[in-house]
Amino acid sequence: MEFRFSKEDDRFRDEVRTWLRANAPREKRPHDEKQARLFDQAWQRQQFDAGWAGIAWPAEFGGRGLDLMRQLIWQEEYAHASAPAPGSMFVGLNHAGPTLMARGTREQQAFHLPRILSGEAAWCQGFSEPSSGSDLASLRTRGVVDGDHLVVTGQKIWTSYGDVADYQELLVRTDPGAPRHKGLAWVICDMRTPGVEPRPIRTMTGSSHFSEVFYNEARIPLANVVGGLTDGWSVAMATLSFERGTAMIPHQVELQRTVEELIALAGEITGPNGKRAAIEDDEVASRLAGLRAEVAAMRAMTYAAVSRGLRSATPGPEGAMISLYFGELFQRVHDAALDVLGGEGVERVGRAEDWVFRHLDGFKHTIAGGTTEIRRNIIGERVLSLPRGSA
Amino acid sequence: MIDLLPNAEQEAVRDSFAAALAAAAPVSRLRKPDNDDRTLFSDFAKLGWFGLGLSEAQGGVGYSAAEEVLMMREAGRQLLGPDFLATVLGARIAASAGASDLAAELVSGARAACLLAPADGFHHAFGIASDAVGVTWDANAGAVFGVDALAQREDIACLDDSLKLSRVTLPAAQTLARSGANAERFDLRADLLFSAMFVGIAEAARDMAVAYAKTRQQFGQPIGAFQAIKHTCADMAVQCEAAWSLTVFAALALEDKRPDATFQVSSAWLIAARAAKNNSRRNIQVHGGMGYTAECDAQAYAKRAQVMTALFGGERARKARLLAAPPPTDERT
Repeated sequence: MEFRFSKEDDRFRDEVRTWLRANAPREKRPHDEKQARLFDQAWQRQQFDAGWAGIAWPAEFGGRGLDLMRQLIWQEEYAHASAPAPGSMFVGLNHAGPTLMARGTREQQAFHLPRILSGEAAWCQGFSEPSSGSDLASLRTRGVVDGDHLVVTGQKIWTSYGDVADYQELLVRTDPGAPRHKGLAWVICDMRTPGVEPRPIRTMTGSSHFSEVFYNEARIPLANVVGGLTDGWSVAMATLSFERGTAMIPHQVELQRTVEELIALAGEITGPNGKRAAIEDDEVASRLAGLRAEVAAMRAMTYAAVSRGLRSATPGPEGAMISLYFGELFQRVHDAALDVLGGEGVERVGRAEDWVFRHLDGFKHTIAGGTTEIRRNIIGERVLSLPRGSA
Repeated sequence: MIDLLPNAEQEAVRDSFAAALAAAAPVSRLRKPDNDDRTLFSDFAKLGWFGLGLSEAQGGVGYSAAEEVLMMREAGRQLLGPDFLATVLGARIAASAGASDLAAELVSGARAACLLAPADGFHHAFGIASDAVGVTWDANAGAVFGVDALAQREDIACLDDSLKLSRVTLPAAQTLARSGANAERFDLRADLLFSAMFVGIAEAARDMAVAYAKTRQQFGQPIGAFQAIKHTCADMAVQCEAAWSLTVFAALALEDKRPDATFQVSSAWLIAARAAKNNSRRNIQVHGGMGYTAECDAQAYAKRAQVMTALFGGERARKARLLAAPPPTDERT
């Protein structure tokens, strides 16, 4: 057991820190989705030009090919520099790209990977459907072979950046007669294909970064199928396993900073009795101390996950634990923040604005990418080997 | 290198703790009215456990805080008492104070210690015995009191009926050993060891609940197939993962004298204490009516967690210390 960064690690950290602090955009990411996409692309291009694109991608695919320790350092410094989240670049960099590397053809790789890395192409995900959320394998969007095309009809939902993306990783049912995990295809869908129509969904924050997408006999070349025509489930599972990589570390580091900002806020703002600072109130202080301890635990869980990652190439089911912990903790932090803000917490202006936005936005953290209920099932069944239930 | 997992040697050390404790101190022993853990101490001493974290020059094994938390986690799992922790820490305080004879007595098992926890105008002594010295500490110093200093005592019943509890009034200046001004923070060392014991309690409760959930049948299936039970068990597992990861991280912070050691140790105590309390209570709930009976070990974990987490100011004292501690500012080591 040890926790030490080597001199080489520290030198690398210095290099990364210097570059990120000098180059990370300082202006706020635009709220408008089209503007935001341009912003994301410019930042990705900047990283690409400086040789920092695809830090976890192998060098043979044009990535930086950093080992796990260096990825960790990069992600920590990324958060410390307040560098913007990849936004509309996220799916390409963290899902579609790695999936193409694992399962794509040479042609698919040669065409798409450079475009993802350089920020030229934005990707979105087309997995969930209105009737297929947690039970993804029940999806019904059809893909029917017609000559050298797949004709797609149906509907997807919760597609982040669906209205601004260029390509989609799309999961469709090609063989309705096969067992439900066997009759699926994972296909690259060009979002400009006739018959593909995204419609933005307004969320409880007021913004609309995701869409539902309708497919009306959209013709997708068979050459865009990744893996076999009925191998989509295994290709999709490869995609989902990348979510447990290091890509979420900046959010964890950021949450630690958020708690420190909240403690500072509680020292400035008047507390519940109207006389002293909020942090002088025993209940407020108790909650803040509890949150400090919990973010410390979350960071240590990340280091435990990295420790496991350094010993074994395949991520274990423990990854579900940190996602679960993060999502619920994020909500507790912002719940506390609104209580600290007191009456000010009803405003969406001034110093309350960001806290209120994140409070509202944070509801997604126990739903997106697997609800906390599904994550608890995974932990129960795969970590603790409890029997699978009928539901 | 970042590695919160034990290396091969540490795994072997951990396995030897686990095997020895499972054989000598199964939790079921606590159900016997005449059980006395003190009879086990001389065997533990032969294995070097009371001097595990002391240097060889001090008569110890020379291991670090990392191996100590591995030991205390197993001690917690088998519900060794506060006197075990007091003997480990007492040897450390005595060695630090230059009382090498006393340290040697504690390391060799010739003498044991009871734990003296501050109460309202007196101390609670856990595990008092005719030959046991008393060990206590605060943020400034650690101290060992002689047998005579514990004479003024009243034996009372404890929430955890497997623990021997007394009220003692300590005479002011009668210490066998007191650490000096430049000594380490014994309150932090103690809280690290407590954290590891809490993790052991939390894990044992988790394992007991999960094992029961796999075998107990209702409505024609194991109750662990129901999400109400499965999710309870999953939460217990997450609490263990959080508590152990942070306890190891805190042990390394303390060992390496990092500036965030107070922050990490205080956090570890809070997360591990909550895991021990929550998991031991949930374990009773998973066991249903059986969990509430005296013949089921589930209650033993819950009582022990309740008592151990109440000592030295409980959660409130650690929260106050955490909020006053400087947060980590840089991952650099």
